[in-house]
Amino acid sequence: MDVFSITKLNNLIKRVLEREYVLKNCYVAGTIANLKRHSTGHYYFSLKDDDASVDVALWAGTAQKKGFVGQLENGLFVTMRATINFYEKTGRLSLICNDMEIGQKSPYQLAFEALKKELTALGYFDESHKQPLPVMPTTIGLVTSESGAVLHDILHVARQRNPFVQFKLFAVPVQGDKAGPVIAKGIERADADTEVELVIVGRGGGSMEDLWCFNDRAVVEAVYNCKTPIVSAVGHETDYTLCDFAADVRGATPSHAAELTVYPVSYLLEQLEAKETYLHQYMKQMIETKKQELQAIFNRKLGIPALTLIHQESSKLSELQHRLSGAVQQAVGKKQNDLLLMGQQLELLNPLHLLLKGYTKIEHDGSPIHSVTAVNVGDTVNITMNDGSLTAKVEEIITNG
Amino acid sequence: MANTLKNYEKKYAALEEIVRTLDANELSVNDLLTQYKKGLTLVKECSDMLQSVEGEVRQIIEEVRIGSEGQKYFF
Repeated sequence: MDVFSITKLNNLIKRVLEREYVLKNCYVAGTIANLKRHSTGHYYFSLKDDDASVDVALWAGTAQKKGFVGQLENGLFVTMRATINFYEKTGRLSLICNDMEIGQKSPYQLAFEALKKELTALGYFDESHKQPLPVMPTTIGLVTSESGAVLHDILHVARQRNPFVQFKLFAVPVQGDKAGPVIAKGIERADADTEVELVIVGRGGGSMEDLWCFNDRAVVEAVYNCKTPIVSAVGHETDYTLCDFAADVRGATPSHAAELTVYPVSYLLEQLEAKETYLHQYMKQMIETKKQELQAIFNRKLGIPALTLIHQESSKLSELQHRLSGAVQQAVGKKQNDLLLMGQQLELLNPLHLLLKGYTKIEHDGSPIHSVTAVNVGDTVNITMNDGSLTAKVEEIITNG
Repeated sequence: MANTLKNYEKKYAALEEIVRTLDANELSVNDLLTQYKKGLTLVKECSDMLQSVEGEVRQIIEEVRIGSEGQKYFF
């Protein structure tokens, strides 16, 4: 038995395929899916029917020449002339598209568009029907498969953002003809659960056929009638289902849905810190303002009036002091004046003045003579004059009257 | 402070009485000097009291002002 090296095996396969001339130029019909346009302009997509699919490459030059640029989209039913190509390095088989007839849309695409039109008319996708999501749901209902990667992805993202959020799984099949009504029931069960504050319905990526059950009328109705806010996350970013259109919010992927709905603890902490800082600043500001007010009131009502009062009292006191000095000076002056007058009066009474005028003082035996009766004729009297005195004898006494 | 003010009022009233008697010139020279000296003493005392009260008031104002900046919050 021969043991092939990979190189040898792939080489053999390639030769076998190249011998089959039918495969060099064959016609293949199917639906376009997973369409990608590379930056070089080449198109890569799958061509599929209900049960099988094959990779297709459409080179940029062919697309340009045949006028396919901008014409291709997922779900388009096409018939193409193609060559089988086997790439030895990777062992991958693909069709190289040489020409193509873009035929009618696939039955899925047509059904999708028809139902979308009908339900749009019924208002199932109206913006006005959509409700805002709760900012911080604590229990989130998940309507998805219990075995898919979706569950893992959502729980992983959620745990990183906020480990306190709880999830309730409402397990449903997410693929196949009969999945639609079960998914609808799952949504209804999640909606009826009183703990559930928000519902996420979704599944991972796949072909339009894979995701088809999310275009089921029953699912769309259940989403539309769901009273709990609901997020739809079906497939990849490029996949749109009617379930997505009916939901309150569409998550591009299940992970994105988790990011949209799970409020991160770190934000909460930041907000809390910001609030705390604000509170501190507010209190500080408040106290400063109150202090300034108090200061102003104190100055206006107490400080300034107190000083004013003291200054008034002070000037009253100095005025009184002034009056005291004035009064004492006046009083002393008055006394001096009295004294002066007294001296002048005294001066007027000085007997020397009389002597000067010619009046004399007459004494007898050392006593002043006030009356003629005080002496007799012959008595000796002493006469005091201004410039000396005389001793005289009384010769005659004449009495008045 | 209340006591000081009460004392002040008394002293001030006494001072006013002295000024009044001096104005009325009812005193002997001896009394005049005595009352004048007494009056001057009262002026000094009153003035000292006012200065002391003003000092206290200014200190209180200053303290209140400091309170608005460096001090810790009172709660």
